[in-house]
Amino acid sequence: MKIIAVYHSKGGVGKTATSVNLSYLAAHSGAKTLLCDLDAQGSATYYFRIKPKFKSRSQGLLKGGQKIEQNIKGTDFKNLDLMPSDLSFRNLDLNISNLNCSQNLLSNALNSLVSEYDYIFLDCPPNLTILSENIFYAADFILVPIIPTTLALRSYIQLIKFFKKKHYDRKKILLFFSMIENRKKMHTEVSGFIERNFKRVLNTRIPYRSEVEKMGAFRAPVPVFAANSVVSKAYQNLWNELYFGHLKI
Amino acid sequence: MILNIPPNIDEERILKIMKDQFRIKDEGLVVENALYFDTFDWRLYHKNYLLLLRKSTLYLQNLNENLETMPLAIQTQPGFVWELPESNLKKQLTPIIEMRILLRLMEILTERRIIGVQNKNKKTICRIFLIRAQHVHKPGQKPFARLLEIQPVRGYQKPALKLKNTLAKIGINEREDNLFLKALQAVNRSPGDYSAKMNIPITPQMRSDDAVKKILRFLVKVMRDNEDGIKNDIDTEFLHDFRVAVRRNRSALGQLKKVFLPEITERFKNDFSYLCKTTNRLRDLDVYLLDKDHYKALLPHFIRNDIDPFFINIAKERRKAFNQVKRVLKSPRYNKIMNDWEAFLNPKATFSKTAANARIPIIDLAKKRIIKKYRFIIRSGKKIKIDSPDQMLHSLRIECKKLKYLLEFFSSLFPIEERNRLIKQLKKLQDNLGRFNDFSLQIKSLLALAEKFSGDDSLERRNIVAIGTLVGAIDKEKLKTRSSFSEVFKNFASEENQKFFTALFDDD
Repeated sequence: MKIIAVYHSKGGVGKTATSVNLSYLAAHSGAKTLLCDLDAQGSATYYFRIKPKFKSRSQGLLKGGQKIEQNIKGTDFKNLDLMPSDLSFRNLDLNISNLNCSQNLLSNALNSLVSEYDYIFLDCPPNLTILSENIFYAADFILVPIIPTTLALRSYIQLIKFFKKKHYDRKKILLFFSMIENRKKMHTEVSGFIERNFKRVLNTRIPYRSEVEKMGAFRAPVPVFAANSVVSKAYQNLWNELYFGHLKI
Repeated sequence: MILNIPPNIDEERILKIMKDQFRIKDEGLVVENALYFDTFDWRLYHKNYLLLLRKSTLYLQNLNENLETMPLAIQTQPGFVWELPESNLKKQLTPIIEMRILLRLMEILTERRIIGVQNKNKKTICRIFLIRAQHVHKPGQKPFARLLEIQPVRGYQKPALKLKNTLAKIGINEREDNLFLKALQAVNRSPGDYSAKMNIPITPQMRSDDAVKKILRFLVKVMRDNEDGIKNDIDTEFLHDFRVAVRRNRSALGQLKKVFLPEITERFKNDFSYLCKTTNRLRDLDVYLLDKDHYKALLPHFIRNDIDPFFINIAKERRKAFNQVKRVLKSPRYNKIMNDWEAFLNPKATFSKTAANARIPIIDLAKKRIIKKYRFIIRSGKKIKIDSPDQMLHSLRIECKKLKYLLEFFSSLFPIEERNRLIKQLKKLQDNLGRFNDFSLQIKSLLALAEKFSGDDSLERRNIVAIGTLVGAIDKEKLKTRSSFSEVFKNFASEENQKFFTALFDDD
């Protein structure tokens, strides 16, 4: 079982679109896949037409085992399950602090699923908290989507510095360009700069396309309602690159 | 959850009712073929297994569950178990099926209409399959089963349950009968419709001639059931079951004296003796070929392949013997024997003259014959010492067999558990005597068959050496068996066993 987190400290860069579309494509290729919506906003949950949880105390997630099992819902798509967003995730940080500030709680919680799923995708909240540290610890790979702008570059460098400081394994981080617009000069310049100066940058670039916004209207992953679109094919390429270049090894 | 759709409800009505509470989406139609296999004597069924072939893959299924396990990809339809590719399935099946061939039981076509059930958010919360199952070779017939399977989506148990309750209200409930059995019924088969096991229902006070005729009618049926299998050379056991039935016939006629008139008894004893004689050779050769691997394993490895010419010769002889048996079964003489015998055994046939024991209650006859045979066995066995001639053991073996047949003929007259216990004891003795007999015969015929090889070339000479080595190995086994006889017989003839036997069968 491999755990893939999709993370960025800012919102609106395509985290949820990425986790939804990649988890769909993984499942479609035959792998048993779980998408965990760890963002209290619950967008991933909404895309799959599932209701987020309102009632539970989020300690349930970290207690793992049966609690997680009980909350998992099947999506409409074969091999793909979802753990819905829990609105009380907002309080998650406080709760983790109560539970000894430990960074391996999430990892332990997800261990109970090792025999059930080939891949677990984590749709992460856009912040840097103890939950995030739990995610960094638990994940085998951390996919970081970046809109190639100067500010984004700054965020990325901050993330690297954070990893260095905490002695986390920076090799887990895989960067790719999201919502990229080739006619914007800044995008081409910054992406070129990043590619030349940083390691572990994926080749596939996800272009900005309106189909991704339409996910909210269709409430389904892009390959389901717009299989022939450029962006659908881009996500397929991204999955292929991730699978053949990193997961399979 | 698989539910039964009663004949008075059609699928459209079900969908209509569901539309009142849920959203429905047609998700397609899946059509599949499955071929079911078992041996002629239902060996897999008796172990609660089903073997099915679907899209070039074999699956093993437990009769009472829905789960298909041990998938095995194959190129051709399954026949003999040794032809299957090495696999867990092969390992599982071999001890059950042994040397019998797998025959097609039936071919079932399943049409599965997939319906997605959605909530207000158009989220699919469960799926239902509307299933129709019918036999492939009976087109135009109604499906023998119409089912509704509810497949819940993970995390949505409550709506699935709600749906189940809604369906229960209109009479759609869980299946009570077994789908496999229902399918067989639709083609007029039932599991175990062929069995060579004797359990003939006769009552203690029945007239002996009526009771014995009932037993013999069963045996005739076994013979008839196996005829086609023999003539078409399907597998070796058709002939085996046929011969066992013939032997039992002879034993009944020989042991149950004065139940029928002497003309009848003598005539048919001769006829069945003829049938045994004409099939002996083929059976012997079949057994050689079945045991080939076992024999080769008895040889040291450097000689093992040298014995191949011997078996090639056996296979040739076997072909000849088979053709001969086929001719016999098609012959007018055979037809006359069977037709006359069936006419005699016909329950409606009446006879003016009857034999001395014809009218006595069968229970009396049975007990008398059983206890007499038993005592004879005890006396004869006690006479056998360590250096007694082999012939005494061979004779004892035959007497034990006669006793076994008697116990089988009259199984319904005596309490099951006690009877089974005695048969178990008898079997141990029979196994020892049987092995001893087999080894003796093998040595004798191996030596005789070896005569056929002239030793003119090196290959033949090596073959003869290999046969000699084999004879030596078998002789060793034979001596082992002989030396354990006295212990085995002592157990059989123990005080406790004798008391038990007498209690069950002796009247005084």
